[in-house]
Amino acid sequence: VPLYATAPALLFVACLMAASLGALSWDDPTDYIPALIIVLRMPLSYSIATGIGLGFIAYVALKALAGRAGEINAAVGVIALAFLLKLIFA
Amino acid sequence: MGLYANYPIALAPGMGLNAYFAFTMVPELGGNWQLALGCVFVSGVLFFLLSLSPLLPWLIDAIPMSLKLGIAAGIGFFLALIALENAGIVAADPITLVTLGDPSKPQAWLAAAGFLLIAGLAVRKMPGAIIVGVIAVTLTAVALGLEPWHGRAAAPPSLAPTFLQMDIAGVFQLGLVTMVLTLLLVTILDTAGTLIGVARQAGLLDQEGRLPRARQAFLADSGSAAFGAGLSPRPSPPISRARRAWRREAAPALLPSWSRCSFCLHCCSRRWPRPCRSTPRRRRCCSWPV
Repeated sequence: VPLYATAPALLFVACLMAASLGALSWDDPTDYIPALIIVLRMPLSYSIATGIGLGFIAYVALKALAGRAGEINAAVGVIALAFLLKLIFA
Repeated sequence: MGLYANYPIALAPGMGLNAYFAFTMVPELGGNWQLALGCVFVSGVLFFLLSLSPLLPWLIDAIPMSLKLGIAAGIGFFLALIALENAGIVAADPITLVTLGDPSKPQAWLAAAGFLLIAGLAVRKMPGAIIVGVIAVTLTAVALGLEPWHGRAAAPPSLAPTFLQMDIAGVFQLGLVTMVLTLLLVTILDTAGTLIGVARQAGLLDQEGRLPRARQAFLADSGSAAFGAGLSPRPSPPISRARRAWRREAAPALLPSWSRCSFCLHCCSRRWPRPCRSTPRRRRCCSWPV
């Protein structure tokens, strides 16, 4: 089975997964902007991890700038920090 | 993953990390791929140890819903890029970075037609739409003489050149801490992200968006990360139906065939939380339009 024959299947699954966007809370920019950064950065950096890392950093930054730092939980903070350190040092 | 965590999720080599291994780690180590394999192994063992703790499941459950949705959709877009690239519909361009592929190539047209066929059949709720599309494109390609007929199965490439070739002692001598930690972080994010993405798509997340048995899933994955270093160069993030994307990897044949076997095992085991698409008598309960 050649690659261009499995590509349609992959593209179809991709469309189904993209439907997750519909469930985002589109009335809160501090929620949907980081999510969209993840969505855009994953294909554009060709890395799932980079997409997640940049989105988490944006989430922490936006929540903090919006004065809602209390909504940031430890897991998100830890991942954002770890990824920031990786970007700077690795 | 299937036997231990009881999830219909297969493991396969991750492509991004494969690129990191081949184009960043190995050149940085002066071409010493045995040492690079050692780094992969050590980070795999660390990942395994982390999976034994409750830390990673806590991590997955604590990620806010909006970011989980972003991860699931993002993996979708990533898969779309890979698929369009495989189909020759997206091509590299020195000026605009990406551009439309060569429209004179029949492969791109075949892939596009196959996609529309799958989408159309899925809308009509035809069972097996995806498989029908893939087979239709393959048969058309063979009929048009684009593909030679290989027969139905191919032998996996030999593992011997890379089997147990890793240099573990060297990792500690040279103090490759950043490289190991980078691998670890990327592996954790890749794994958590992919698990969230495919679990959401397959409806395995519970009401609050948590993944039950996340610990087992992580253990299965991290175990293969350490074990995989003994076989070949990189950790293996979990994948679901997206597994075909990883086909063009260096050693592709073995893992997809394993995935297929374990998927079959799942279908037989009946413990699976969701009915399998290839079990006809239970197909009507399957919410997935395949």
